[in-house]
Amino acid sequence: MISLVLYREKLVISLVHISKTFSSLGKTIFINFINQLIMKKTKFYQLFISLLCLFLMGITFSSCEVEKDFAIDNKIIVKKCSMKDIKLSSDMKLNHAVNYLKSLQTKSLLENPNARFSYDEELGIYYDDEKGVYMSKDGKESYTFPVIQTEDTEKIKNIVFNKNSNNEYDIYITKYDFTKEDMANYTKEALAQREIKYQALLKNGVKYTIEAQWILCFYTEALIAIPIDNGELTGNFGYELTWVTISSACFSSVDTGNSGGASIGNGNNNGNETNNSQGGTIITGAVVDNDAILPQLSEHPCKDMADLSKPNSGDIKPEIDWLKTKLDETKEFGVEVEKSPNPNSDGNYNYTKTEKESNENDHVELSFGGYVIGAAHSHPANLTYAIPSYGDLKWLEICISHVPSFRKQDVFTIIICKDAEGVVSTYAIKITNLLSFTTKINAIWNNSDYAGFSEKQKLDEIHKKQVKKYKNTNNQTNLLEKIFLEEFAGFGIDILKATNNNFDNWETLKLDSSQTSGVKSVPCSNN
Amino acid sequence: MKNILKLLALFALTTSCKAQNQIIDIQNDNGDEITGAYYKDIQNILDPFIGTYIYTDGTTSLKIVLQKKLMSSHSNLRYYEDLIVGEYQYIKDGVEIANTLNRLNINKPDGSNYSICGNNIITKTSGICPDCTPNEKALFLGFVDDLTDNLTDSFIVRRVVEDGQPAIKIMILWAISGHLKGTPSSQKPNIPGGYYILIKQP
Repeated sequence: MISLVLYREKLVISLVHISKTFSSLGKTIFINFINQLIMKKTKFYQLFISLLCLFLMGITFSSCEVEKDFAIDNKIIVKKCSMKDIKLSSDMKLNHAVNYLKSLQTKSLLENPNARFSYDEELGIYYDDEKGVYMSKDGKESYTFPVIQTEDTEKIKNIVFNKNSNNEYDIYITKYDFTKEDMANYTKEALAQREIKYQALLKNGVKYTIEAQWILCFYTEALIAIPIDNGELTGNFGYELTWVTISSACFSSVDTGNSGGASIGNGNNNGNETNNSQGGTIITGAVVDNDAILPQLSEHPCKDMADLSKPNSGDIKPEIDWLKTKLDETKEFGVEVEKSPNPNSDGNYNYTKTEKESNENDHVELSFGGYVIGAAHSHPANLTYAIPSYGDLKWLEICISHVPSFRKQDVFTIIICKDAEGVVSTYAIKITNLLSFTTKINAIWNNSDYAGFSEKQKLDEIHKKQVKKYKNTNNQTNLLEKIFLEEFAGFGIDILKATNNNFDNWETLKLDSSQTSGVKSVPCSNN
Repeated sequence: MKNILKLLALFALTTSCKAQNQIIDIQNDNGDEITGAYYKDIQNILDPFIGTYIYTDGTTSLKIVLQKKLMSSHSNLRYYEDLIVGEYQYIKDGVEIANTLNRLNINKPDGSNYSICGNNIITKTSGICPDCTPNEKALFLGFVDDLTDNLTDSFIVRRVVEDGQPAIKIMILWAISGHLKGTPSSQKPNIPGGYYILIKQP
């Protein structure tokens, strides 16, 4: 990594933050000191009280002063914005760039002008077009929108519409070498040493192919405090720290460092060093979608599955019925379920269900990524065990890792199977604790027994071990369920079982040693 | 004192050897592999499956060679097991699609590195061998087609007699494959799934 930081132009650290921190730290020390003084009844007691009052007054006055200074010194305008703002929608040049980006998107999104979360199929990213930030300084302007992380550990990415020297808008993806968690744990000064990369999608009217080279820029930076626009930026009042970087030249195929806040950079990406005269500068900053970054898992998995059977909310019954007709085949069948990222005008979401069948008794592919929120598949009777497998859980883990945070609660897998006695069961698995689930699934996956194995070798070895656990069950449902729960009940999942053929009522299976079978069924209404 | 130390050393050595050489019949392997154990084919149930087998349908053929591997172990040497391992050749309409038979010429310490591998002995009561006779012992093996990056959900091998000849009847059920939306589809497995009867070669 080559750091191209030239110099820090301006660094103003918020005394508000310092004083708050200091007063917090000092509070404990002072209280202890007071106690000691009172206990000892020394003659310094009055002197100490006086000093304490002076100190607190100092904090109060210095805080007010700093806030005022920042507001005066700062020439950068930073405001919240939305693609749907009238001002933005009336800017024809900006519209031209926005429409170009939308031309990369799926047709279904274009048909829904009210969509908030836009999915760029070609780029494979979601971005929130209502949580943008407008930034400007000295005639430089940009609109930056957060790309929604599909995993909490993902680096922050933004889509930037940046006004160039022709007063047209270039489009960039910016990638910061830190996560939202890093932003909470590190100072902005520390994060400023991290890397920013730019990838041009549209520049000076030239369209660049996806996966074009990332470019890096020389820049200078300034840490500033900005007023939060009386609530316009974040809905809060007060000040927050951000910073600006100004580039002098950009390169392709070179790594550099910086990140966070706002940045201004040159955006050429023709593979050679360029200078600012050949292109405009890029002003942008790390914008995070706070609403969508944390995974939200369902609190009512049982109800979620029941809802999925409703005609206007998944209508999964025809697909499960179809899979039930395939249980005596010598191959597996599957159904992928996709959910549109935005509701229709009636408030409902579009669900797309794709039936999957192999042509020549070979494998069936079940996709993840995109809009896929789950899948259902059959376990052929008499050839496989009538219970979900580790492979099914691993697929679920991969599926949820490719789903944006605001969609994780929708993720599911359904397995339809028939046991040796001809009992047909429909199971669904929902994740209730993502950290526990991924940790435990991957603990098996990364077992040292499988060191050096390919993914398929690992799955094969794990699967064979599972078959050994089941081979004395005679493929009977009650025994299979008990063994499955003994292994996976603590994996942060709920295993649900449909109680009727409409799939609008489910029960949760739980281990219970007081039951003869060792398993109890908790009705949905009791969850 | 010296005698006590000698006795202690002998005791430690004895218990240590015992832990590392716990021999368990593969029929009793419940999937919880014990560290230091040796899952042994005590009753030589795997032996009758050893051989070269060929399925033929016109110009399409499937040849499978099965061998027995003693004391196979993963790289971490946590436990040992006797296995059936195997490779295959598939010819479709006169064209050789895949041939991994020469891999058997290399002695790999870990049997999992062969395309076919396993030691699950299943019976009628296992519930996944409906055609098994009451006393029959069949095999549930793994089949990883690394040429196309596929694996089986179920690969069951039964010993049968076909037209008076010893044979194996196999059932290949390929597992569902995960696929990232928007990327090219993964390769199909080389051998179509389903039932095959392969005649044992002399």
